[in-house]
Amino acid sequence: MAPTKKSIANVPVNRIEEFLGNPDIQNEWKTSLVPDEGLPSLFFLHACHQDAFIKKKAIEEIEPGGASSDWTSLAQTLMERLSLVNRIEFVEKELKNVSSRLTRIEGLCEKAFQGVVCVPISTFAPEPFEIIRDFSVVVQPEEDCFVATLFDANISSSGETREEAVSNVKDLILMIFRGFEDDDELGPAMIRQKHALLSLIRRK
Amino acid sequence: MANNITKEHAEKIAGKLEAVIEAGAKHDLAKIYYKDKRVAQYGIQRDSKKDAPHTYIPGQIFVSKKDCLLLAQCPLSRDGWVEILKAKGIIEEDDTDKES
Repeated sequence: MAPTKKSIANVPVNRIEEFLGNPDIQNEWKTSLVPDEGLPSLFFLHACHQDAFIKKKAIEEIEPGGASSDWTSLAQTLMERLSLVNRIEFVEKELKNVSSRLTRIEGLCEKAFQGVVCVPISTFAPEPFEIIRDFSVVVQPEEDCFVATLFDANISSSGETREEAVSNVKDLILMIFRGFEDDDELGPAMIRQKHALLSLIRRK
Repeated sequence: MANNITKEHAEKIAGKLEAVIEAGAKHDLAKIYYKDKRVAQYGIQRDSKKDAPHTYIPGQIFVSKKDCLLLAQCPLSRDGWVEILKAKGIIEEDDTDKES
């Protein structure tokens, strides 16, 4: 007795997934399914998300009794088109994401660098210290103040204005420099800080 | 402002980390020791209000702003801070047997 034929168009997508993953179901369905107009759109829409091997296998397996070469060719063309559409949609979606992230990053950069200035330090006068080589402190606006930092030595101070922040960090630099003249044993970060300062300033 | 680090926070942290305070012209320098080694230090501005921003403190004691606030507000202890610095290599494990 001939097996009952039913349209794959009525098969839910999750069953098609089973079909793709389970050889037993494939064998069972191979004899009971007949390709029709619903097949390519339903089946290949799903198949487009599978890898090339499964797509190929699906084309081979889905034709009970062998499909006509026209149908196979039509299905392949449709699959390629759907695959292309999927890729274009994916690329468009990614492009939108990238574009939106870029806009956000541009905004953050603009905010982060707004008002950031490098201030060259050329003298500690009237203090008895001189500069060995030119260096700058970076002044960044914060919510309620400006922070001046000598990044090489990881020394920061703040002030209500840029000038005050720079003046404060200069004071702190000298205070820390003097502090290294005692006999304290130092941890790694303090050794780095001391060496950074010794490469920049010295007593007159 | 509630989440900003202020002079008051900086002073609390200095107390908690048992910092030695050295008075200067514009700053008090908080020097923090671990097993007799100076491992970190930062300036606290003198003559500023207690809510004066000291937003640079986290970088000076090598922790995040969040951990810095936790130090000031109690949940993070000196021992917790030491563990963070050990993880970052700011405090060396060799020092372990020196602290009483």
